Amino acid sequence: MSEAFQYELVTPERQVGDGEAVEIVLPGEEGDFGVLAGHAPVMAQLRPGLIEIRTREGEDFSRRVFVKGGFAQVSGERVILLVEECLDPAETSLEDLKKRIHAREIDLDDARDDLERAAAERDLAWMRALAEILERGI
Amino acid sequence: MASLKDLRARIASVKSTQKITKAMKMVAASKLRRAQEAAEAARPYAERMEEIMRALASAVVADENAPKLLVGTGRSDRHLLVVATSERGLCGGFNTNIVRAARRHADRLLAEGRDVRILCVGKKGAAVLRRLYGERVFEVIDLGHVRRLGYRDADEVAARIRHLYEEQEFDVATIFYARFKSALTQIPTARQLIPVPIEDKDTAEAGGETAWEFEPEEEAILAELLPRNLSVQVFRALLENAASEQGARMTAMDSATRNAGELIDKLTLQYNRTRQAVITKELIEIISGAEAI
Repeated sequence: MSEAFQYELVTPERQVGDGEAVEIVLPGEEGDFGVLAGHAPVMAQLRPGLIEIRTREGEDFSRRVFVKGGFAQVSGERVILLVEECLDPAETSLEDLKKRIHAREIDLDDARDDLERAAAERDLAWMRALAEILERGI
Repeated sequence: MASLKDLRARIASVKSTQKITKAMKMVAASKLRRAQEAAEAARPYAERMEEIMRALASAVVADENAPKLLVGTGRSDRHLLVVATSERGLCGGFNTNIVRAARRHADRLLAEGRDVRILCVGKKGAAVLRRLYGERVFEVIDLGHVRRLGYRDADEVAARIRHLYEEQEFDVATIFYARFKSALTQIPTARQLIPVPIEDKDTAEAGGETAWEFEPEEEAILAELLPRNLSVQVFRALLENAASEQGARMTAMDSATRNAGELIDKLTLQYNRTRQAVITKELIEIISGAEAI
């Protein structure tokens, strides 16, 4: 029924993945949205969250990556995902993450200037999003 | 004719020079591998980003409300040349080539009666450009303290450019760097940063026909995307430059080592000939001395 389309997932440091997919679910700034072949052209900003890629019809999502934010360009036949950083949620331990969140929260309280505060807040935003996903289970 | 002692001293000095150039070549080779990987890995992101920006630049109507970083100020009287060179010398024609490309561009613009200002990244190019253009080189960003080039370093340079743009110091910005092709070839490249260039006819047409939906709205997304694009393009240029620098240094040091080798061979030959001559001369003196008796 649904056709495959091309996707590319790249970070500033390297290309993380590319290939064919039949469905991709993206964490848009204004809510998650799914992309199928022939989707209307969209430029979307991504919030920290999970990108889910289904490579073949009828199968489960074969790839799940956590991104710290970025942009998605969706045109009819291609999806380009420019993301800041990718993490494999399966490789992250929740306990570890909670410790890091705690450490960052202390940093936020101790922040001396706006720059440090903004950096801590940015980190906390994605860490909390990831923790939420891990707690929910995937 | 040089004495034997002089020749020995010269050979020794060329040998120690050869040792140094050889060591520098090895160091450059190992640094090159890392720099090359970093530069090549960063290409896809920068290229995709550029594609997106081009599509957007042609899709967004160039009215007064359009972001200036995207469509420009509508003039091209004042140019900013960002010239990225290395912090260290001994890398062959690397810096010269970049500076030459920048000079050609600058001279053409000046001949057209436009204003040119130069922002140097890396002090090696700055020295030459200062001599040529004096006051027009108004700032040098020194990256000598940076050991491993990160996105953050590029972001700082980009922030400086953005600041100048907001102060309306220039209309068009172009960055000069050397694109890494191989250890032997680095191509001096000029890339327009501001406004986003619309060169490619195909993408321009494709983008022009597409009515993009924005989520969130256009202004918010462009406000995020445009500064990021600038940083990414600067980052790409600096990474390419880093790889090119090491490649150029490796090649330069390789030929320096080979030259030293040739020189040593030549000097050794001369040394041996001189030694023979001295021996022969002594023998002749002894023989003719004996004959005289």
